[in-house]
Amino acid sequence: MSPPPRYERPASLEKAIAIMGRLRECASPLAGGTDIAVRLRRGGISPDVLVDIGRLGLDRIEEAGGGLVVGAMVRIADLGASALVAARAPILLDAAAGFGSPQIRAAATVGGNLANASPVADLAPPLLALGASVTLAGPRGEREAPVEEFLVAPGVAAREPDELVVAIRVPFQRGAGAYERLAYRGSLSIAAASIAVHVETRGGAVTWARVAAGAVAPRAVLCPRTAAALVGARSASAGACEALAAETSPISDPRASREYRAAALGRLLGVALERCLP
Amino acid sequence: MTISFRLNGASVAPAVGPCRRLIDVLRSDLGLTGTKEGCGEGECGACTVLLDGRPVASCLVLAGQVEGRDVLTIEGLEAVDRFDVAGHLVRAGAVQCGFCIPGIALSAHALLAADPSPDRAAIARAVSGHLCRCTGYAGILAGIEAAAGIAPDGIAVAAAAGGPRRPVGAPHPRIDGLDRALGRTRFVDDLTEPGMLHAAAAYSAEVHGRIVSIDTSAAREAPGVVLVAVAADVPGENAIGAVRDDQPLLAVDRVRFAGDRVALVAAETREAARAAARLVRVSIDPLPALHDMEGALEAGAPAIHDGGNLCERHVLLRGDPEPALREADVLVDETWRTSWQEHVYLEPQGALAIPDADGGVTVRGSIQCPYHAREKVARVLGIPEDLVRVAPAAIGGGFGGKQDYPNEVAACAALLARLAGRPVKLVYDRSEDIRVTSKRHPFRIRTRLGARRDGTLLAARVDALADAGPYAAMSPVVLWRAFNAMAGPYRIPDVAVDAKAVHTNNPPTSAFRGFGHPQALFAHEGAMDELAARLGIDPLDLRERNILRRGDATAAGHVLHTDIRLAEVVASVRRRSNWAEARRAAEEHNARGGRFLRGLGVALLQFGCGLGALDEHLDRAEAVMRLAPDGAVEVRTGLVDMGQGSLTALAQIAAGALGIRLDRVRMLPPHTSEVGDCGPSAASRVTMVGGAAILDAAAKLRAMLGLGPLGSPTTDAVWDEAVASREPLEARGSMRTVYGPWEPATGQGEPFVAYTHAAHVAAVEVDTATGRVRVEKVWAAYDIGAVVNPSAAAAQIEGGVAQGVGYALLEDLHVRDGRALNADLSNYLVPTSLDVPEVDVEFVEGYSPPGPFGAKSLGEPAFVPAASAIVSAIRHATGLALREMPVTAERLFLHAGGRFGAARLTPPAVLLAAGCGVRMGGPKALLEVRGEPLVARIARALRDGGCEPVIVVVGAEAERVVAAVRGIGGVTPVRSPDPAGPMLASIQAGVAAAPSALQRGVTIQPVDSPRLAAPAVAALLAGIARSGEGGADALVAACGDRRGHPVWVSPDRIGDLLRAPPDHPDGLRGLMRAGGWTVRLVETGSPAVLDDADTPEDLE
Repeated sequence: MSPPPRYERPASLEKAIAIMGRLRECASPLAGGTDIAVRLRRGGISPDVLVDIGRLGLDRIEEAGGGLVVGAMVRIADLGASALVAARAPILLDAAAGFGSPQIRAAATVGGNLANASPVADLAPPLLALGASVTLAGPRGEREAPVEEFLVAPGVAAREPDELVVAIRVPFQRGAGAYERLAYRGSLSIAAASIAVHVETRGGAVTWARVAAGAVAPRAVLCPRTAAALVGARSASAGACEALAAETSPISDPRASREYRAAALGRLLGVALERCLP
Repeated sequence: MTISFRLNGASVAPAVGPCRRLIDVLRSDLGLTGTKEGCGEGECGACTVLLDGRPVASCLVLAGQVEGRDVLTIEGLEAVDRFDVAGHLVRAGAVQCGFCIPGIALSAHALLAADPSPDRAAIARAVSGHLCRCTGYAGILAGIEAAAGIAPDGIAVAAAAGGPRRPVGAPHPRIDGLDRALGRTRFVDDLTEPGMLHAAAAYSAEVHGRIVSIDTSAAREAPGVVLVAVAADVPGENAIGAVRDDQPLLAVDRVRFAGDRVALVAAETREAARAAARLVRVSIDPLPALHDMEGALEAGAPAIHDGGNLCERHVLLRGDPEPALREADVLVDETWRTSWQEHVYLEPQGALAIPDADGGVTVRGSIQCPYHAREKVARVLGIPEDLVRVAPAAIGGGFGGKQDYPNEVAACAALLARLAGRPVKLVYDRSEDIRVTSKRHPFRIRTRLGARRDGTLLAARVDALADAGPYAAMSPVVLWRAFNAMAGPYRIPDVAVDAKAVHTNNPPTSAFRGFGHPQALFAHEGAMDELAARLGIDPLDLRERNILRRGDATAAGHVLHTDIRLAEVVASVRRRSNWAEARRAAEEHNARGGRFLRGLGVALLQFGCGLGALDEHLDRAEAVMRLAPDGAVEVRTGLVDMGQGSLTALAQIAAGALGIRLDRVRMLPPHTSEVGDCGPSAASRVTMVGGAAILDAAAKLRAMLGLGPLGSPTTDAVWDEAVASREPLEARGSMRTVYGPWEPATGQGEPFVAYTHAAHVAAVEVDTATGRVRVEKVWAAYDIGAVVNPSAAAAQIEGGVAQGVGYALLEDLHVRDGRALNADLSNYLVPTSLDVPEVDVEFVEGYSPPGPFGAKSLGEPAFVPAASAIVSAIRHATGLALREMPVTAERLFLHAGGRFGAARLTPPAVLLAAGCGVRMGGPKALLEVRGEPLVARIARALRDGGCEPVIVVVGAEAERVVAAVRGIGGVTPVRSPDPAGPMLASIQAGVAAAPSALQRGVTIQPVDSPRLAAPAVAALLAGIARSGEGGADALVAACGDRRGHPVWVSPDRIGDLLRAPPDHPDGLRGLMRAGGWTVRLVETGSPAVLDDADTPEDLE
């Protein structure tokens, strides 16, 4: 039985960054804790120090610089209830609605969902489709990392050991977006595959698209060839589905077989696109 | 260190570490046990508390995170519950076991505080993070609607008056409902004793092997550990088997599944015990493992037990079905398969044992059958039974999972308590609970059902296999119940049933609500659906034509002389579902195309009441009635309420028998030292037999009071006068079920004393984009005789339907090499509040002897038909036959192969070819079609069609082909030992070399045909025929021409042959019919890629 981790709850971002700078690999940021609590219990992780970032004022959603700035500690429930998000990036409401359960949504955070770098993270595909970036703060100051660069591999994000995710920047996109997930029940259901589509259209045909998929690759992935194949289309063409298959690499596990993930993903692309079209 | 926060309106500052889970702070450090732990991973919602007014899972919150914040637990709800959520939940019938309710009450409170008038959908979403396994959520949603003032208050009227004058037949909320809703009811993990230790077990990681050594030294030295016990420490007999002496409590020299217990640890804390258990080192020499039933029954298979692997066999023979099956106008001959189902009672297994001064032990626990636990604990400890006192705690759901398995938990705790001389509590972790406890049996059932053209059933032959897992547990009884149910509630003149339970090294299987009935039903109702499709008769009409009516005989030859109301039950669902009209509307909707398909399906049930003739000796019950000084009557039986509400029903029966108001009856909890053996609280018998014992006691008490026989009128005044200034009085009642004759050799006689009948109609919608099915509505009708408590009875059915939704669609335990891969609640999925349909229940009431007031069984029947009705509806929606359950989204999607609605539910069909031609320049099996080897392509199509792709490779290039095919995922190549021999012999040899499970599915039948190359037909037949014992689907792929040259047969070409007019003597069907085969055609969807040049010539 490993001893419980030490626990720090800094009262300001400066102090938090100082702690991270001092402890580096020994420190694990603690946001909502919904994932860390399970892993602590299962013995999957044994961090030396948990740095609770819950009291740093990182829980605001603001409009700035042609986009939204969503604080890392914004709870999924608050993201889903935000009028600003509903007006400016409604695709995120799709992701928030299917996320975990009411209890999980009340605790889990936007920053935590991304920083975990889980291939099944529900926010990742829509944020990729929106072209969002992650704001990291550390002893060397702040930096921005596009979400597609931030997500590296299962459980691995491009966060330096002394950095904290402090916000997600979501640029405003014209057009419409939709997020669809392959899940087997109405709640408490981890997506077996998911897809986010953001398009602009003219006369019912796609003129510009961004597509991202979750749970079908080691990380949530942007699918630029799929998006390119959608341009000019009025529905998910065979070409787009083929491109999607080429840009993803699903595995078989108890949640779904590779074959099913691949086939259903193509169908969900069609469903999501249909929702985006006028 | 202390953590300061507001708790239920007051400031607290417990001295706890900041990384301690909030749930532990609340339950262990602060003693607030109303917050329940169901999974520890945020997947069940039982531990929900409000943090700053919002529901969170307290198992996922660390103490440090709540510093300075506001926490509301169920203990604090009552003071602020301005919506009276708890009271409304109780009155709406939302409380069954009540383990989930405190958390739900808090979520509901938070919802109403934020939105005083939510609609039903918002309410369902608000509680969608709570799993409830008992209710089906209907009562929960209704209770919250009532609290919001948007629906009438549940059964307030009946409850307000302290119960109606005639308690039996009136709806009444649970008598202990409010205690459960407010978290005051003590489940075993809520109990604590001075000096109590915590226990954990170490298990085998191997599925089958010999124990070389068990090293407990590291565990003994771990911090907090008091003792570690192994088999040698068992003072009595190291035997815990439920009905057979085949299972040790602690493994001695052998393990038979990944979950055999090898050591027990007792330590000062649960964390210490669990950590130490992981330090036990077990060295095991693996033995060959058996994972399929057919393989386990083969001669020469390794024996899991000395007596072999056949655990149990039951045979029924009524008449001789063979002639009728041969002559039937239509014959369905198919095999249905089901998988493991996990109980997911919300409260994990647990027991607390307290050593008594007299050398005995008192056991509290989540125990459905206290008398069985008493017997097993006494045996393990080597002490007389009367020194073992079993007093079940409140039970947080059982469903059979708390029937025999808790004997093991109780014995473990008792053993450690005696060894340590201190109280010991053993509570399972959820993942452990899923990995090591017993499940519902997978069945493989081949049913041959013959009928006349008009739909009249003529004969049935059923061969069933059940996976009994490593130990018998309750399997012999489960098999007996299943085998009695195989013919369904139908009039069939000639029936033969051969049912076997088989040992494997798979997860253990035992009691689960329904006891083999749901599996039997899946097969007989599947057969009826397919028969209906082949005959072109409406499936409900077909059933109605054949149902048992008064004076008919069951498959056991039991002539039903008493009232049988199955026809009324069928009429009820037909009328309320608007069956014919709704079916037609669904078909029209589907014909228009679109993403969603609709369907209506039906399933009928006949369920034998009571334990049955096999366990006649156990079918007894006792009841004690005492007149208390305050004029109330205390009633105690040894029967257990796992949540089903039997305590309330029994109180109603007691009140009804005495002629007093319900609030004058006080039910006392079961205790083995206070009341005589009542047998198991199982088989849906509690209300029936407990009620009968209570009636007997009531008659005696009335006689003592001079009140006249049962049924004579009593008023409160009469009662008050009779009991005034009485000395304490006690009456003991008993009952024993008397069975008619039953003959084990033929299964003929009267296996049960009465039967519950039921019908479910389900309406579903299938999403063709994902294969996901939504159950829209279920109409259920039941004949359970007299209904003691209509609201509780309806709630049982709503809960049964929810479990049926899970069994039909979601609950898919992935077992690989004997181990469950999804042993947690995030991957083993049970329905949430967003997954259950509206359930419309009607009771066709009547008086059914011999139950009290004419009542029959309901607990299990409430569940049994639910899943089959849902699958029947999916058949209607999709046209697919669906012979495997659960019909997960994936299975349905892949089965449909993306062509939903295109298929027709007709016999169908078949197979296809592959092989390894060498002509024309090389093995064609390796030809690529659009970048994919042909073999892989065909294998994929077969898998989609539900077949197991095995390629038997013959021919001169066999070596090369096998090598190449090995590299293709998902295909098993089998090289014929005689690849260059004559084609037929070569194929036969290859089949013989195939894995045993597949061999059984393959029969080779040469057919001589003037038009087809005989070996080619033989090979086709080999793949087509899945004969005997429900063998796995197999593909034998190889064809040859008359000269023994390998040839390719185009799937298209085979299709043509199969589509030849059915009665054409030279059509493939005609040939096969001559050989006694059923024709099946699984379309591959892959155009065969053959050189046209070499096909026709070789084929002709």
